Amino acid sequence: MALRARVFRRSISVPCLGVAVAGCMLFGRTAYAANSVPDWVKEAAQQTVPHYSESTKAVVLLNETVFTVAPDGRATTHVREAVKVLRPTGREEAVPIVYFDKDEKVLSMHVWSIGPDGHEYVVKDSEIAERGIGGMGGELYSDERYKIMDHPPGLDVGGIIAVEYEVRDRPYLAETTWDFQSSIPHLKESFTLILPEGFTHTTTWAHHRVDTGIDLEHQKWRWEMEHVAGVDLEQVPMSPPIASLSGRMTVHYAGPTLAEPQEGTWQGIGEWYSRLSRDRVASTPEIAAKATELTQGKSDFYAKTEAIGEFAQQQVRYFVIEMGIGGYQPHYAGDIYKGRYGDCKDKATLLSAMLSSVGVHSALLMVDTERGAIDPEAPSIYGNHMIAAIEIPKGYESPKLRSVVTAKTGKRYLIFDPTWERTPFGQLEDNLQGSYGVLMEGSDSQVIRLPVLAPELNTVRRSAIFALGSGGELTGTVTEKRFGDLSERRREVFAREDAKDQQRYMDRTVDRDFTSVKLTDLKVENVAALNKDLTTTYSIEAAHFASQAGSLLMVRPRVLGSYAMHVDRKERRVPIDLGSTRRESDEFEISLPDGYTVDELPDPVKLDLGFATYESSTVVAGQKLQYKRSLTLREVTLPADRYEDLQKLASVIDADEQSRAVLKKVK
Amino acid sequence: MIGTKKARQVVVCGGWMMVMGLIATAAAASDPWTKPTADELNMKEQAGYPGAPAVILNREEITRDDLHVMQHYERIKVLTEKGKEYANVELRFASSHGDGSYSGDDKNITDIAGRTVHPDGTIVPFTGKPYLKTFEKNSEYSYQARVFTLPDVEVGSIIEYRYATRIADNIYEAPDWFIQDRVFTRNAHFVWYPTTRELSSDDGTISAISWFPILPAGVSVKRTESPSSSHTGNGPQQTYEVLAKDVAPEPNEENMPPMANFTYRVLFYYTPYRTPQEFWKARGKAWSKRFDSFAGPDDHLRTATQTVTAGASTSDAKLQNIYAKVMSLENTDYTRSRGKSEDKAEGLGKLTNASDLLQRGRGDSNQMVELFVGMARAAGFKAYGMLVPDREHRLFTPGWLYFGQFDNMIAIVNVDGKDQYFDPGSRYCPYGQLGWQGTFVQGLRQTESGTDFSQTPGPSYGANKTMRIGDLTANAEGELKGTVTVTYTGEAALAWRQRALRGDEESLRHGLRTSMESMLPKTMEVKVETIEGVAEYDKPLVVKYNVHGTAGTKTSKRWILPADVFVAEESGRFPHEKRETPIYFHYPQAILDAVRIKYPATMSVEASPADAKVPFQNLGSYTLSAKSATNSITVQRSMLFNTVIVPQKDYGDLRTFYSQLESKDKDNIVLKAEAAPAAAAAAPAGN
Repeated sequence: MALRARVFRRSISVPCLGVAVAGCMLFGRTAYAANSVPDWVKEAAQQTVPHYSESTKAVVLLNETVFTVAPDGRATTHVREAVKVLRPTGREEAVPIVYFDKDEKVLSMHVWSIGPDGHEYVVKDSEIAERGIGGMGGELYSDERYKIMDHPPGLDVGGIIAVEYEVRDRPYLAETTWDFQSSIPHLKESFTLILPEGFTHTTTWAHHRVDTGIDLEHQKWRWEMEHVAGVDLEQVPMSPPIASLSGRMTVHYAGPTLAEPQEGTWQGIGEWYSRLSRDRVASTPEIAAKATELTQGKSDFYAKTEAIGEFAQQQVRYFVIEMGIGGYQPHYAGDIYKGRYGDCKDKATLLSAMLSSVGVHSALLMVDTERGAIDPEAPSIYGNHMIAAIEIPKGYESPKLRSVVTAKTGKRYLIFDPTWERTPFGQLEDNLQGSYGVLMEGSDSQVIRLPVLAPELNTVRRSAIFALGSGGELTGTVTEKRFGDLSERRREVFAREDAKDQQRYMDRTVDRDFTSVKLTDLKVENVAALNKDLTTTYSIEAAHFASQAGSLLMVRPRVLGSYAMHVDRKERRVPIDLGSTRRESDEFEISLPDGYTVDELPDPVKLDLGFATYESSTVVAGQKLQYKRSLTLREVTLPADRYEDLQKLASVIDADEQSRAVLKKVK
Repeated sequence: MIGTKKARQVVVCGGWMMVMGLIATAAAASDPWTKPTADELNMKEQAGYPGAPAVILNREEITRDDLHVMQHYERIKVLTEKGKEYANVELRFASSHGDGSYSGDDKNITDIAGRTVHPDGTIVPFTGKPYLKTFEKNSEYSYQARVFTLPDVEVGSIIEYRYATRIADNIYEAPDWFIQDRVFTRNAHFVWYPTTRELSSDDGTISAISWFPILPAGVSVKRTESPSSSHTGNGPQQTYEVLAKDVAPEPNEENMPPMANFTYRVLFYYTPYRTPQEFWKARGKAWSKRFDSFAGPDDHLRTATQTVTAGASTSDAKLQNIYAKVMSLENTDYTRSRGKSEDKAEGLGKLTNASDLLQRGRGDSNQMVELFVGMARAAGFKAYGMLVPDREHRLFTPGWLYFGQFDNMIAIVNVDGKDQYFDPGSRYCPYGQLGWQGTFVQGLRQTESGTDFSQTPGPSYGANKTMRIGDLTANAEGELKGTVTVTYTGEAALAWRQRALRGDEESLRHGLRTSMESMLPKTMEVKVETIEGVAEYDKPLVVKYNVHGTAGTKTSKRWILPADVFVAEESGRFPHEKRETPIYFHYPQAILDAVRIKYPATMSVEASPADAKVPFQNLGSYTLSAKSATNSITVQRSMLFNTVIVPQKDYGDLRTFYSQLESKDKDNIVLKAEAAPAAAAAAPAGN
C-alpha cells in the first residue's frame, strides 16, 4: 500500500485543489476569537444529545465544511467541528487533528473547549504541535504531517472540544470528498460548495443515496445532514472495513482556469492519472535489455509475463518515498529500475515499462486494500494502492491465468499485484478479490470488478501418519502443502527469518494442538516457488496426547490444525467479510495401541451452506483410526442475514474439532 | 525519566568551523570505503547463525569533541531478503530551539555517503538525496531524521554508509557506544577524543571522565594520553578506544528479563564526581531535597492529616486512613493531567507542595507518593521516598551514572519500628503492597542521613490470588449452564481496577467478558452479571458471570467434558526446547479453580481425572483432584508459583513442570448414560 495513504481522519475532508482564498464569507466575519469561545461552539453545545448505546464513545455535535474554489481554480477547505466526549475512551475522538503535506497548507487552526462543568477554554495556538507520519508499512519517507492539540482542556466525559481550521488544498485534482459518516454518530453537519462564475460541479455518493442538496444560488450549494449513525465496528467479528460502509460525497468540478477539470466520471479520473503517469511508464534501453534477457527463449504470453512479473515482484524492493504529488505519481521507470526499489505504483510502473519493451500492453489499476472501499457508483481518486492490469492477447487462453477481468472494451486483463510478494503470478491476493479498481487506460478508463478466485487456488492440505502409545503419547510425521494466500505467512517465515525463529514459529504452531510436544526433522520445499505448493514436513513427538480416564483413552482424531472462526452471538447488522475463498483438507491416520479397542467414534459431519461446505469422518480400519475432513469457502463476503449460517458453520467446526474417539482397554 | 545525563558547557569557539572544514576535505580526498575481501563477497551465511538476515562487517564510531562531531561508518553484508531492510537507513536526531529541558540535544546529521557492492564486486554509489523526516516539531524542539535507502541492494550485497553527527558548538557530550546489535558483528571499533577544555555542568566543574562498560570477554576500554592536543593546543589529549571482534547478537526470547540495559556497551560521562558513590550521594541529595520540599509537611497538611487520622487508635490504623485518603484522590496518570488554564478555571493556584495537592484533589503518581509521605510525617511517622525502575523495562544499575534509570516513586514508612513499603502512586494498589513493576528491585531511597541504595520487597504467591469457581449444571441435551465467580486479589485485581480507571464500566465489562470467553470453550456464551469492589482496593474484586453453552464432546453413550473448563483451551507456555536467557515472570501468584458440574440422574461418572500433584523445585506446585458426589463431580485445581525469575539452567525443569500440568489440564470427565430400565427404554423418547 503506497498510493498516497488515505489518512483516517474521522471527519476531516480529504484534500483537493487549490491555494489560499482569503476569508470565508459563508461563515460571515471569521471569528477566531482570541479570548472567548465562539457562539457557534456554544450553540452546538446546547443541542440535546440523543440516547446512544453504551459503547458510543463520542458524538460529533456539529461539522460544517465549506469548500471554496477561487476564480483561479485554487481551493480552500474551512471546517468547524465540535465533538462531545461520551466515554473516557472517546477522548481520542475529540482530539483536534488537521493533516497536510507539502502541497497543502494549514492556514489557520484554533481550538476551544467547554469542560463538563461548563467552563470555557481558549487554547493558545502555540500549544498546537506539528508531527510527521512515518514508519507505516515500509514507508521510509512521507511528507504527510499533521497539526494536533493533544491535550485540550475539558477533555473529559461531557466535555466538548471544538476546532476551526482552514487548509489550502492540493493543486493537482479538481476533487474533494466529504466524509459525513464515521465510527461515531454525527448530530448535525453540512457541506457547502462555493464555486466561481463559469465553474460547474457534479457529486457522487458512496454507500449512500444521492442527495441533490440545496442550491443557494450565486454558485453556492449546500448539503445538510442530521443524526447520521456511527459505524462502530470495534467489537464486530469478521467485519468489513469501515470505508466500505461509511457514506461519503465526492465533489468534482470544472472551470475555465483549471488545468485538470473533473466531471465526476471514472473516465475522467483515468485520463487524469494517465496524463500524470504517461512519461513515467516509458521504458529505457536498460529496462528493455533486462526485459529481453528475462524473456529470452520464451514465446508464450504467460511465460513472458510471468518472468517479468516475478522480477518486479521479487527483485524490486518495496520502499516508500512520498512527497506532494508523489503520493499519486510514480517515479520514472528508469530510476526505479536503477535503484531497484519503489512503492506500489513504482513497482507497477516498472512492470508496465518492462512489459511494453517486449510488446505487452498493460495499464495501472488503482485499488484499495480495504475491500469495498471503492464504490463503483462513486467515481473519485479514493484508493490507496496501485497494481497492474496486463492485457491478454485476443484468443489467448491458459489455465494459469486466474485473475482475469474483461473490460467494457472487450479487452481481457490479467490482474497482478507486484507489491504482494507472496502471491503467485496469475493470481490476486485475497483482500483485493471482489473489490473494485480503476483501470487507468486513458479514454478507456473505467471501474472494474476484481475477480473472486476459486477455492482451489488457496489451499492447505495436511496429511499425517501417527502412532498412539498406550500411555497417550503420539509420534508421527506430518506433511503440509500450502498454496496461494494461505501459504503467505509460512513462506514469509521461511524466506525471511533465521533458523532459530523458523523453529520457534513451528513450535508455536504445533503447540496449539499438543502439550509436551517436540517438533523435529523440519523440512521445507518451494519457499520461493510461488506457483508450487509450499511443502512442510516434520516429525512430532507428543508425550501426552490422548487422555486417560480409567480404562478409557480419549483420542482427538483431528490431531492438528484448526479451521475455527471467531463469531459472536449478537445480532448482525453489517455484512460479513470472510477474508478469502479457500479449501482446507486434513487426512490423518492413527495406529492405535495394542490392548485397546475402539468403543465409540465421532459421528460423521456434512454441512453444505452454499457459500461453504464442511465434511468430516472418522473410521476404523483394522487397528487404525482414519480421519478426513475438508472445508471449502466459496465467497469473500456475505450479507448480514447469512450470519446465522456462519454461526452454525463455526459451531459445527468447533464441535468436530473437539470430538473424541473413545478407546477402551481390552480385558 | 528523572534527571539529565549529559554534561555540557557553553563555549564560544569561532575558529572550529574552519578546522572542521579542513578535516572534511581531507577525508574526502582519500577513499573512505573498505575494499571487500573475496570471503566477504562470497559469504552466504554467518557460521553459528544459520538464516541470519545480515552481518555487520564493520561498525565504527569516532567522536571528536573539539570538532563537535561523531563520525559513523557502517558496513553490512546482506544475507537474506530480510537483510535488505538494512539498506533503509533512518538517522534520528533532536535539535532544540530554546533553553528548555531539551536544550542539551542540539544535533544535526550531515555528510551522508554510501554505496552498494554486489557479490561480483560491482559498485553502485548512493547518489540520492537524504530526506528530512519530521517526527515532531514544536516551540521547544524538533525531533527529526535523515532518511535514505541504498541503491540496487540484493541478497549478497555489502552496503556501506558514512555520516556525521554534528553537535552544537556549546555542547560537549560524552558518547554512548552500543557494541551489540540484533545481528552478528564482526568488527566494532569505537574511539573518543574528549575535549581538552575545562567543562562545567549543572552539577559543577567537570573533573573526570568515567564510564560504564559491559563488554565481551577479552574486550576492554583502552585509554591513552598524548602530551598535547593536536587540535587545540590545550592540555593532554586523552583517547578512549574499544575494539571488539565477533560479537554475538543481542538475546531475543519470550519471557526474558529486561535486557535492554545489559547488552554490550560502554557509556561515558563527563562528571564532576570522583566515584559512583559520590555521584549517587550528590544527585540523591538533590532529589531528596526536592522531594522533601514538596512533601513537607506544612501546617496545612498537618491539620488535614489530623482530621484524616482522627479516631484511629493504632499507628497502622492512622496510616491506613492516610493511605485511604490518598487513594481517594484522582491520580491523573490514570485519567488525564490538566493544564494551567483548567486549574485557573477551577480557581486553583500554583501547585507547590503536597498541601496544595490535597486541596486540589488530584495529581500524578509521584505527587501522590510525596503527599502520602508528607501526611505520614505529619502523623508522626518516619517516612521516606524511594526511586525505583519499572522492572518490566529495566533494572537499576548503580555503575551507570544516570539518574534517569528510575521510573517511579514509592514510599517507605516506619510503622512500629519496621520499614514498610507502599505504592500510593499506583492507584488502588492494596495497602502495604507494591505494584509488581516496583517489586524485587534495587532503587534509591531517602534515609535519615541522605539517600542510599535499597532493595524493595515483593509478595509471595498468596498476595496475588485468582480464584475461579464454576457452579455448572449439565442437561440431557449436552449443555452446561451456571455461574462462574472469579475473585481477584493483589496484582490480579489491580490490573482490572486500573483498567477501569482508564476506561469506564462498559470497557471493564467488555474486558472481563472477553477474558472469560478466552478461557472457556468457544461454544460457551458469557455474560457479566455483577462486578464488586472495583474501587475498594482493600477488598477482593469479585466478578460474577452467567455462562451457558455446549462444552466437550457428546457421543451416543458418553459426554466427555474438560476436567477444568477454565484451562482446557490454554496453549503450552514453553513450547521451545532450547533457552538462552533466564525466564522472567511478572509476579508470584496463586490460581485456584473449583468447578462443580451437576449432571442429570440419567448419567453417571464413568471416568474422572486421577489426582495429581506436581512440584517445581521449592518454587511452585500444581495439584488437580476430582471428587464425586450424588449427581455431581467437583474438580479442584491449584497452581502456585512463587518466584519472578528462573535461571536459564533450570529451564528444562520449568518446562517439564509446565508440560506435566498442561497435560493434566487436558484430562476429561466422562459421563455415561445410565442403562435405562426396561420399561423406560420401551417408552417413546421425548416429545
